[in-house]
Amino acid sequence: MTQLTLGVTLNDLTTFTNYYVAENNEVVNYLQAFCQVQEPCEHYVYLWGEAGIGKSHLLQACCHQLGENKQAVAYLPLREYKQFDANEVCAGLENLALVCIDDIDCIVGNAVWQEALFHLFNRLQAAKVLLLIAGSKAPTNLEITLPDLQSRLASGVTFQLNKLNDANKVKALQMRAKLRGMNLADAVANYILTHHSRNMHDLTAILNKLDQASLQEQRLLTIPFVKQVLEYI
Amino acid sequence: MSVSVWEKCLDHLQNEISSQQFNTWIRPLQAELRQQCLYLLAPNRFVLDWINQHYFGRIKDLVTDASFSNDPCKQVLLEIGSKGSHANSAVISRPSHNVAEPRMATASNEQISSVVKSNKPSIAHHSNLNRKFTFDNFVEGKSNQLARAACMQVGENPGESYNPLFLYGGVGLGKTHLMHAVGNAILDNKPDAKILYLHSERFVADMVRALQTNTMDTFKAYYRTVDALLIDDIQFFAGKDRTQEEFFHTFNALLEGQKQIILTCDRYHKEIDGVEERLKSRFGWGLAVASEPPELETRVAILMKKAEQSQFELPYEVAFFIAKRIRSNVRELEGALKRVIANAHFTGREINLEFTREALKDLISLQDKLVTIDNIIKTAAEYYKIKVSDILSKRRSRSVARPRQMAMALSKELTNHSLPEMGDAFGGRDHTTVLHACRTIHKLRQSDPDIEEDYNNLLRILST
Repeated sequence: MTQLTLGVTLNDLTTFTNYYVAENNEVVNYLQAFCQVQEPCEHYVYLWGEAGIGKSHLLQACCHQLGENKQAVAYLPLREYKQFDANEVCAGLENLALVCIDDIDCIVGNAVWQEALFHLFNRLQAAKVLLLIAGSKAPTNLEITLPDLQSRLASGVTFQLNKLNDANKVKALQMRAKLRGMNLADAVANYILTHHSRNMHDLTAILNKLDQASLQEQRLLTIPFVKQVLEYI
Repeated sequence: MSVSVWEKCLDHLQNEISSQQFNTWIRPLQAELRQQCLYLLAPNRFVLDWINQHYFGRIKDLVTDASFSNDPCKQVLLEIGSKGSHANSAVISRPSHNVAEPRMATASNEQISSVVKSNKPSIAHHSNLNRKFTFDNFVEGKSNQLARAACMQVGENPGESYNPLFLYGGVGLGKTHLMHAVGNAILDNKPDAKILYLHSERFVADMVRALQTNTMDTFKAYYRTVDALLIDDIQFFAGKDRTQEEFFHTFNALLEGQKQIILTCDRYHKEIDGVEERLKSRFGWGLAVASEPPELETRVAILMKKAEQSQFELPYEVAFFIAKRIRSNVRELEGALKRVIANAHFTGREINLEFTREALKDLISLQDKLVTIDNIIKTAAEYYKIKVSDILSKRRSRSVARPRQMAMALSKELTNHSLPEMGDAFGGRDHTTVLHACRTIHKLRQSDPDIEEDYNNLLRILST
């Protein structure tokens, strides 16, 4: 009979402490200061880089940091939000302390969203609300058709996030495993990396599955056990 | 009872739902105690509805449960708003009753939050002016000389010299800066002047709300009792007929009362689509003046000025390097400078060309990558609405030849290719054809404003 698990395994907090920094220490350093300073000189930061590189994690880490200081913040994943009315989603956000907009690429070709974000940008700047935007491309390469928005997107401090190499992916995976109370040996981590997708999103999903399975079956993470679990992926 | 029960609830919810859900829906809520009830304030209807449908039951259970907290609430209510917005009823500032307003007014020391009250009826105007934008820190160059001079004139004699003052030009070229500078200058000369700066979206939103709440009279009184009305990006009035109608009357009322109107737009007033003719013609009654993309020297001066404002020592050759690479608009220039400053603070390295090249490597490679002859041909074809194959063809009709010449001239300006290479790229033409095209466009730019505008537009598109 399968062992049932308590609902305590799922939720990884997305904070700065569980972000594997690797070669992105300048960005992390900057963002930590961005969220801490009472009167930051810069109110808008843009992050870009390929999928699975940790942009969403950093955005949410900023939300977490300000949230812990009792500030109201919002995280807007446009991939999910773009189906809704842009003006309704953006209304009133200038009353918060920080707005994080993820996946800005999703509004390429969507004139209504572009205009709504342009107005939101202006309101946030006027109210001096912190704004953090992430996308897969640099602001000038986004193919945003509203020039007013495009020039604004390029006006802040822009950082490109560096990719993790395989060695760092192993370390990042091990760090995540450790936070969940699992020990992921080098050999096992390397096995996962060489046999499955190396995108960090997918790797994290694998880790979730392994976490659940190891709790159910009360097994340590060994290569045979990983093989057994992952053949169903 | 205190809001600590909400904090406890937050800790609990954080473990129950995913980080993303928590940051998306729960963190935007603000808690406030009013008359022994805990009010959860959502920033908008969208968040409110979602919370109601998905989380409110659980939140209610938690915060009213005595076993969960020894300080439980009797009642939890959910509404749209923000902290403190209910306290502000003594002074009515906007006709819109926007909950954002009280915070806007206190958000920054740099924004003028002084409230100017007229006698009766008691209408208070928040100017929304940004004190940072003045004539002193506006860098003047050939591209914006005229606009600056006109603005200074208006700053000294509002309602008299040029009314309305219509500033137009591409994005990030200083229109908003100038507009604020005029407002600030008027206030410096007459501190009790009622100046109102706002983005066109605000006017539309205020009017919609006034219609919804049946307070059009308040709306009209509010906008028609200012000494100077400054509206940014008027092109967003396009297609909004009711707004245009109302603005038309506001415009007339202000002009009749010799109150100053300043408008900015991304294009010349006659070219705005979706705006009534009678408004367009009124926009041209005063002075319409363009703000052009800054030339190299001005870009360098802008960078030096911005660095100085950030108390950052920027070597001249570094400013020159950045200005040469980023030509499209001032916002991008500023973005590049901010990146250099951030990098310098982080690494503590000396600011020199090598350092700057390294710090801006992504940005620079993007600029370089974009400007290829193929890209220029494609962009010119799109701009003139012809096919790429037409540009490369042997056809010599004016409708094809002029765009082709334009693309050739731009290729000479923006790439390092030799004339024979350019000829090859344009369908195997001789280098003298390219030379002729460049000379023709150069001459036409002096004599034909349309050609000059096309050239500048294409240059901007390709450099963005």
